[in-house]
Amino acid sequence: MSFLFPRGLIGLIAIPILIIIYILRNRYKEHIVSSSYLFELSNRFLKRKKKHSRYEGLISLIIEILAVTILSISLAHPVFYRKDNAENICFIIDASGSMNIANDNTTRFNLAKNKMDEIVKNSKKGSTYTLIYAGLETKTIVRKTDNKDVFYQFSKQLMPEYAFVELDDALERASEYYQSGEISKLVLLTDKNFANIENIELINVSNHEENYAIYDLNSRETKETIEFSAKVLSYESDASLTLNLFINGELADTQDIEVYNGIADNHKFVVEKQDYQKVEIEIVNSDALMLDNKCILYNITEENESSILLVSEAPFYLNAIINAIGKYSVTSISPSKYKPTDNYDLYIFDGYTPESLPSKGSVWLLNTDQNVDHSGFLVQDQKTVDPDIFISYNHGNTPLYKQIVEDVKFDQIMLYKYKKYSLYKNFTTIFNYDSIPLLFVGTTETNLREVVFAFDLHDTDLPLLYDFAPLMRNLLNYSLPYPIEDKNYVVGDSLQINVFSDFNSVKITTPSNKTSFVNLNSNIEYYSLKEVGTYEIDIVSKDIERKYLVYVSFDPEAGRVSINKESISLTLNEDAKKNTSISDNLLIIIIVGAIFFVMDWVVYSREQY
Amino acid sequence: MSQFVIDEKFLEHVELLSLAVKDNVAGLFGGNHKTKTYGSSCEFADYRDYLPGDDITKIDWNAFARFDKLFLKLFLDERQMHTRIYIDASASMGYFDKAKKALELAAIIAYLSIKSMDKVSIYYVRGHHIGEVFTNIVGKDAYFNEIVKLNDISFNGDCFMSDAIIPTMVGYGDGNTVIISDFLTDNNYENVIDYLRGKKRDLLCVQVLAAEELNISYRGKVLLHDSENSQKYYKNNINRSVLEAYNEAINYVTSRISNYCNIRNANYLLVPSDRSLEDIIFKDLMSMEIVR
Repeated sequence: MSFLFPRGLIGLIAIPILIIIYILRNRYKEHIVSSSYLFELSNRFLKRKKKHSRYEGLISLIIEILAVTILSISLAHPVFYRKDNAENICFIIDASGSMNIANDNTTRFNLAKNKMDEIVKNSKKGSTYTLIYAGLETKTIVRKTDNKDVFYQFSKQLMPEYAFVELDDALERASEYYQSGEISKLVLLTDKNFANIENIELINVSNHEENYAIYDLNSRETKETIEFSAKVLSYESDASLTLNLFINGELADTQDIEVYNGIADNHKFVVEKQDYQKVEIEIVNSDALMLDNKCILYNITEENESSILLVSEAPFYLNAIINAIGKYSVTSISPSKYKPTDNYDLYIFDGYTPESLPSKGSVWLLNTDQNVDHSGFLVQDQKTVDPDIFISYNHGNTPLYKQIVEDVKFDQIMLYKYKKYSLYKNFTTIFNYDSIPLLFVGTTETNLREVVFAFDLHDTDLPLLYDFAPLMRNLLNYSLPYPIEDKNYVVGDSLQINVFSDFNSVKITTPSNKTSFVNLNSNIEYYSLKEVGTYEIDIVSKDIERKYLVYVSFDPEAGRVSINKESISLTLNEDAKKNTSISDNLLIIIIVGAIFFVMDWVVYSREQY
Repeated sequence: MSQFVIDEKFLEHVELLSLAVKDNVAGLFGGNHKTKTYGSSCEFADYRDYLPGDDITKIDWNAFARFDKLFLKLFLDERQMHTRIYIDASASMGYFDKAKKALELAAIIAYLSIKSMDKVSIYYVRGHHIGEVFTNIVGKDAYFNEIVKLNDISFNGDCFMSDAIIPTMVGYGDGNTVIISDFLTDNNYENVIDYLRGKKRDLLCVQVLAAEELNISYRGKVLLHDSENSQKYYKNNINRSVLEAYNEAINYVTSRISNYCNIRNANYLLVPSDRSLEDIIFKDLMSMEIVR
């Protein structure tokens, strides 16, 4: 039995209230009467002193409790399932990463499939089966088939993901089927725990197997050393683990560590500074899921050192910040020495306007006072602002705006002087004053990435503010994009590929050796990472062929079997009963409830005559 | 102490009514009540032969002219009666509005008697004794002076009607006696009915019961303390069967006195305290021919 509207059971709260009222009513109330003579005299006329008369109140209470109980149950609308009937069963199979965990060489996912097949095998003739796959994408694999073989065939092909998966979409879809009366019973096969479950049969395939994970491998270089750090997590218990560090495939260090159940701690290896292409840290101890026991870091930046030409009379601020960020080769010259060239990745013109823009690379124009062809804007006027006036950031919501203001604290910036530019191309304005754009980014008419400052850095306090460093870093990252973003990827993430104009092709090979080519129609393309392991990205441009390696680790969240949601439920409406094997006895319950109410009324009337 | 106010308008309504006396009357002074003896009223009664010494002014000269014989015209005698009203002043009468109704009734009955030029005495009965409110008043002036004394009656204690009234002197056949009580007692009241009827007095027993007593509102478990006796209490669960028994007890109490009055040729009237004076006088008492 289950309830369609379990909240109706809240009515049961009335029972303790009835009991309290009964107790209060059962106390003797004292009165003074003119004469007790009539009352004493009435004792003579009591026809018979029924023994049960003293229990009349109690009988009334019992009937009232029964009536309230029946009323609450009928409000909750119970439905009964007849065991001997055919059922319309819907299975939701959880395909999250943790379902890869194995026990006795059988993964949780396979165990779930076996259980599912067993239910189908033992179901009554005439039953129908629906199968919802709860992976990174929720899919209905089989819908209301009564052919068991078809069901087995499809279920056999299912594989788990390597990422954390929310079950909400699958439950919502099952709910829709339930509402339409397509299914009558829902079976959820998962390794997650839930505090409350309504209208769902849960089959938990977890056996609380030991599982450790390592992820988020990063490096940090000092003058003499390199520090490699990674997070280590044990999902089921406290553990003593051994970590091995491999540099370029050779064992470089070993470390014994203690980890506490469910707490991800950062662990570091410090080695002498050296060149490396690949660093790997692995957990030596074996567990139920080996996929998340190692983590690899490929050195992408070595392949991609960018060159910057800085043309300025007073390059102090810009030099300082670019050198502080540290991964660029900067050539600084005065405007008089500038000759048009195409040998740099980024050209920064500070207070100087070139006759024409470079043909490739990116460009920054700071405080330019003359128009440049194809720049996308025109110089109109130079203004001097009251020193007391501050300028503020725009409120943008585009991906580009978010990229530029990442880690920025949105300080107020004081500005003394600026130039008024009018834009004839679509730029993203980072901040402005009185609707006049002062810092904007976008692309030129020749499709170069462009950053424009409408003021001199010496005419503002921006270089002295906290925001200067993250803002300049973000602008440099935008202007000097790597084809592949250097970050730690987990399954489920999207790989961002910055497509340059000279790219001929981008080929991606997955850890399981599946290859695909990326569409090069736009500046930025995304590729969904679904496997654990090393992805190879081969980029062929006009001049050279470059290969990037990206390691995608198992989603650490996917290993967790406890879920934040305390309860899951399925709601059913009136129509859902049709065409199902649900037996609805509401009418009988209502009749029984009505009988109890009438009985209560009779007893009450008798008492209160 | 229950306060009542004389409603003079209502007194005007009853101006034409008077209290009836059924049995022979034996008053000493002339009044408005015709006796079965011959007297000096204007109402013709009979003829008899003239005897020497008779008042010659009473000779019917017309009859003499017709029959040539002296006949004496006889007229009915009219006497002054003495109405005695006894009010139960026990504590039970002080509850609800029973006392007020009893006092109003006493005042009206007294007025009806005063109008008939009768003497009126009102007593209250408490414990084994009676107390005088006023006695032997005649005439409206005296009535209006004395009637307010009814408000001085306090209602408390118990009431033994027979023990209180029988020892007092009441006249033989000289008028009405009215007893106003709730008669909610096992104490003997039959003796006083016998005594008063034995004295040839017209007797009216008025049983005043509160509406709350006739239809009790108590339900469930109650502990009821008796107003007349602090030692007495009643503890029970008032349910349907108890209510039925209570109603039977009411019937018993009213039938007991009603039947006894019938047997002794006395009048009995049950007055719920919420019944209006108009209904009591113009409907109840007139239908019983106590007032006409």
